[in-house]
Amino acid sequence: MLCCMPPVARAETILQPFAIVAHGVSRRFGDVEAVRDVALQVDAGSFVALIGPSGCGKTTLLRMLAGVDQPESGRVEYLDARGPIAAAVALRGISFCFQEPRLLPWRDVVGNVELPLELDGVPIGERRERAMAAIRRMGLDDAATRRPHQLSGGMRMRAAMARAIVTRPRLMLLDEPFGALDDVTRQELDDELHQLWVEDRFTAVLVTHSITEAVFLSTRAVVFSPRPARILLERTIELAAHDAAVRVSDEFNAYVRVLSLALQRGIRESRA
Amino acid sequence: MSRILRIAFTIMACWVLAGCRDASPSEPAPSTIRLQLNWVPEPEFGGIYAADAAGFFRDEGLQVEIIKGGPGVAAPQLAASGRVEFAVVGGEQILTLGEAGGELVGIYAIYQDDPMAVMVHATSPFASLEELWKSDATVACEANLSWVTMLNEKFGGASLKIVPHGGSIALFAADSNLAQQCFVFAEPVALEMQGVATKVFLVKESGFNPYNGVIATSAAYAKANPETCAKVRRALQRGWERYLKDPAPTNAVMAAMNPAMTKEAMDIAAKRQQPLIESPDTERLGLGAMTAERWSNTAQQLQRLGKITTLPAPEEIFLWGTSAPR
Amino acid sequence: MKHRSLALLPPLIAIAAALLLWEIAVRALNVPAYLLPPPSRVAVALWDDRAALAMSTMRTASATLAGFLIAAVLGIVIGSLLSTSRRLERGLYPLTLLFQMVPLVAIAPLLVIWLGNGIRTVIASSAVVAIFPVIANTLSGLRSADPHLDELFTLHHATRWQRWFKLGLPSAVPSMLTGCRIAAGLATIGAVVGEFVAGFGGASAPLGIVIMTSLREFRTEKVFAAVALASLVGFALFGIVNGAAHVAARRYAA
Repeated sequence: MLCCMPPVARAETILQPFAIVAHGVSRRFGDVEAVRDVALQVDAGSFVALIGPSGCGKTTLLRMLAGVDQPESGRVEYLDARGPIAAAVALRGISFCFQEPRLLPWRDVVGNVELPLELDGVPIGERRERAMAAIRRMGLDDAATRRPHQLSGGMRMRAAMARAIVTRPRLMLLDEPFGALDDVTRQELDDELHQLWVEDRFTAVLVTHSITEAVFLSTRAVVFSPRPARILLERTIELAAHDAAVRVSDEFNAYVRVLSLALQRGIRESRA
Repeated sequence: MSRILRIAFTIMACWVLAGCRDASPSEPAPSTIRLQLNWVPEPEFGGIYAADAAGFFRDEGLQVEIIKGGPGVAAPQLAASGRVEFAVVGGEQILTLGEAGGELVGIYAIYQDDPMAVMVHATSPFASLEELWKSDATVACEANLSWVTMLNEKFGGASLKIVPHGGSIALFAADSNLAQQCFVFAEPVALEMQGVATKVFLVKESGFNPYNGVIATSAAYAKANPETCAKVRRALQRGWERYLKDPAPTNAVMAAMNPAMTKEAMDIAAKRQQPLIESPDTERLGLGAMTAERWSNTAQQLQRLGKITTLPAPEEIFLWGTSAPR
Repeated sequence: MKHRSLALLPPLIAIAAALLLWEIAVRALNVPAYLLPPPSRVAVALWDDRAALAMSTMRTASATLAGFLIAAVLGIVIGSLLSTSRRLERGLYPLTLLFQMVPLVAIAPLLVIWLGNGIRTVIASSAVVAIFPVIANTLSGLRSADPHLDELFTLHHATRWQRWFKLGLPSAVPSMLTGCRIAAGLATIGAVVGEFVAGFGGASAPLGIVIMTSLREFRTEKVFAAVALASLVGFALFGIVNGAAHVAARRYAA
């Protein structure tokens, strides 16, 4: 019975990051309009941050990019260097990071990290190896055999990130992944995420509340209005360096100011 | 219908008996006498209901309340502990309960021959229990029965297969090679009405033939109320005489109280049980008679089987005639 | 370790006190043995027949264990099947409930008709009584899987089977084990009642038959002895399942 057998392990069908284009997507839930006619372009290999107030619909937009939710009007398109890719193919190259780590409590870190490969039918030897590699990259070697309840919040997020990169994704979708963590841990993980992106060069879309995080991580920041989500501002971000000092540098603060102002204005206008 | 269900529920009745104490013998005979049946109204109790309907108890100056039995009613214990004055019990039970400290005295034996039997299909080749027991047939019956042990002693039974009773006649009806424990007036009649013909062999062929359908009372009550016992006996004799002559009207009354058995079935059953009720002893001594010899016989058999350890004196377990016990 | 065994002390004292009270009451009130034997008589009955009773207990225990295992496995399977569709659940759940409500003493003779005599029916009787709590708890356990994890599996394109085996079942383990705890006691009752109608007599008759024949012969102390042994079987099985549940709780709890 087909439904009972795991899907055949896929060799990476896409080796290059791909681009996403959202063409005028809208989505409502009952009476509530979450997203109204949003057109968004995410270039291959770029890191796009979606910033907006709580409940503005950016998570809904992210879910539409992920293929989890369908837009009521408009469409989402995936493209690589050669042209459009079928959604089903594209979706297989996507990884996710949520605000909750969403680890299986009865499995240790290795068991959790290898889950996507397991579900894809990758044989046990290969998937163990890849899982351990991801764990090492995230600095979790010592904790590999521990279970989620034995890990700190930060370590759980690292495990979730290890799980996200173990499939060698071409697109990473992150929904406020570090929102529940303290500032110090958050910065550490931002650094690590940046490092991952530099090394692997996947396309990334990050939903965040934190403007500083957006400026640090992204190559382009998009500011949204309160619900229904409308794009207020898009700004390309180019930082000279991503070292320890960058967060207090002038150019960094300039970006932060621009984005904050746009965000505040959007909130004020919606209240008017 | 089957004894197996009677026993299965006795455990609840046992523990429900609160304030367990022996009946106080110093009370004068109460005006209402409770007579506990050990099953639902059926031809086994025909004479009792006939006596009641014809007013024979009243004639003796007695007010008797007949209490229906059924699964879960521990009739012997109820009489032995004084919860009721009289109860219908099995002869073997008087002996084994006596061993366990419950002293009962029988005052009337409905069945001179034990109505317990083994039935086979009419198509079966066996003409007697002996033939059945020496074969490799399958017999469904309760565990550890005295007559089964005696049959094994008498006829061997090495190739016989004994299986559990199963609690219903459905398996027997479906399997023409099966033999099953029954009461001569009950299961075979029910099967006949379903169109299944049977041959019935009484267990007395084993040599074990206790009295059955014995109306008994506690030893204490018998000692304190010998006249009442005699009166009850007389009324029962008249009732049984009447029932044996014409069971139909009493059967109608009992059928109304017992939805599980039709009047028609009761009429057939009454006929089937008649030869077990009348005997040379009853001709000589009257209906319901018991002799010391028969009781001694049964007691010795039970002792040999290990079911009782001491042999009671006959007068400790039954009362016949005018002499008081002990 | 010391702390654990001290915890046993209060119930043991309570039991000892109850037994003492029972012994004194029966003697003081002159209760006849056939109605309520004193614990001392029950103990004597246990000792006198210890070899035969040991064998009887083993027979009942093995039927109980088999019935319990069938109930556990089948219960998990049926509970899983019911969890796959709400319509299925709504349609079949009341049926399983009905099966549970009909008194076992009515079902047991039917089981004999369908399955014949002997240990097959005893095991079936045990399983029939024990299965429902496993079904109910498996169903509720599966339905209570973390929806976030459920979504995770959806995002990773998990098949139905993968979802059931890798997410549903592990999530449901604490619940299923609760169901099994309940099933353990019920399996014992089911086995004994099954033995009432389908048990074979003879030298190593199971406890249900010992109870029946002892009742018939008014050997009430032997009835108590057999009942005590049957309870012991139930306790032992419960203890094993409980132990497994504690181990599993440490592994599967969030």
